[in-house]
Amino acid sequence: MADWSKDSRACTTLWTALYSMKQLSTNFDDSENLKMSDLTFYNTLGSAELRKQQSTIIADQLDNVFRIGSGATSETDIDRTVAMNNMIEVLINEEKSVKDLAATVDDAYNFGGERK
Amino acid sequence: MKNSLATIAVLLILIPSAFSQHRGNQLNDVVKALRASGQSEEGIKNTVNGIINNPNLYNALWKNFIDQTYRVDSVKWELLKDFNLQFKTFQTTDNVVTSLGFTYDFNYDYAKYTEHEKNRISKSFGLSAKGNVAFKKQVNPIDFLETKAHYDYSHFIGGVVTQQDTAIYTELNNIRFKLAGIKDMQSKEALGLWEQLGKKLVMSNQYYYSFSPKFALESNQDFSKKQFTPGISIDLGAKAWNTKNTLSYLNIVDYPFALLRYITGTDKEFTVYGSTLPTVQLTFDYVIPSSDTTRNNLTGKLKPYPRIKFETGFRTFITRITSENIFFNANYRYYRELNAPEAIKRANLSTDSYFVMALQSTSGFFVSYANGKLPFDAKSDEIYSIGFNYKFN
Repeated sequence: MADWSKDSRACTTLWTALYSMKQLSTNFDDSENLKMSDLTFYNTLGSAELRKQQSTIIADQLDNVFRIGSGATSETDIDRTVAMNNMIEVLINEEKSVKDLAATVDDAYNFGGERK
Repeated sequence: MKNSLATIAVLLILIPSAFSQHRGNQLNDVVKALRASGQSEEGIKNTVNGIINNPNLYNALWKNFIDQTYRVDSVKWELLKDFNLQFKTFQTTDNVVTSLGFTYDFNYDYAKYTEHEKNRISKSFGLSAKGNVAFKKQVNPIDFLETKAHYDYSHFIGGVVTQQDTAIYTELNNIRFKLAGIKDMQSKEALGLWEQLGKKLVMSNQYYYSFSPKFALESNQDFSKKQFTPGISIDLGAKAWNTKNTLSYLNIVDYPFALLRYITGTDKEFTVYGSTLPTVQLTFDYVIPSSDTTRNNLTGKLKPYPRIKFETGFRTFITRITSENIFFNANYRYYRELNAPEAIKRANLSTDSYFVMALQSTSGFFVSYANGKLPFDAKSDEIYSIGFNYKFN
């Protein structure tokens, strides 16, 4: 995984998606270390089961933004089940950061023509 | 005495010996320092009791235990990452006595996700458990445990309008690159770029529904009251990702917070977030009481009965103060026994509801209020709390 960098399309596409989805309100640099519990969907009063449901909805929308809205393709040997489960595993963990989620996204999707 | 024994027992069970030894040494050091400062034996005892009754101690130990075991063998302890355990101090409104205890919340499932032309489907099988346990059970304000196995069949529809022109992908990437270099997201340049991004990446409403047959065991913490509850849950969710969409304006619970965001300058315009529309879960249960002396005394025998349950959750963003995000959280649960016998109605046992809301900040500060009771609770409690959830990183 590349560092949290504006040259990484996984990072910039994830950040703009979360910003547009009103999950965060910070600029790119300040978003790197935000925890999952700092995102709007993460209701700390709900049960783990309800948070799983919310995480699944967020992961489904991220998958939509990446593939349908932004032309990303799945990496080799990564199907929708693997991509969704990997993203949800990060989203339900309050200790994980946006940077961790970007690493998972980068492993699952190919955004093409990275600025390196 | 019982309380101390219980907490020590938890320590012995949860903490690896090496770490326990480390903490034990630290405690001995505290005692030595207090003796050296001339503290009385009674004073030292009170200080040590204060330490071992502090839930933060056990939260730190639990986190350390998880980190160590996961580091040693992450595969063997895989399930632990789905197990949320938090130690707390419990107290009811009509009782000055407090008790150390814990809240647990576990959810594990195996899910498969597939995609079709007009929707996405997920099928999963899972186990979940949640509840509160107080080491002095009479001061447990929410004496209710639920353990269940469930199968979920879920549909997702909408979310993003399909993009046909691949040249737009390049334009989107350029806009994202420019946005990532801007510090002030409320600047004219940033707002202009966000508008361009929104025109090229059109988000539509996303809808979600799920059917979940399940089998659950509900009980109080000492299992003196328990019942089996086979049933089916229906989950409904909708997200209006575009704030200009009509569905966004229907999110009336977000209106007060939209006003706060506008007043504090978090949003330049009065903007209702359709992404925070509350999710809803409706459950139809067939309750089979197994042991419940209260119900048995009131009705003469333990007969199965139908019940509906409604649960909803809401969370929204209020503002950002320096590096602190402030959120509002709420959760509501309602249970109603259908065609309840008169004796059950007269005893106010045919319906139960529980509401909790909290203001929380990123660093852990919180103010919360809870009201109501869950099945098996003898009475309704009102709980106010203000405090700080430490994050042990």
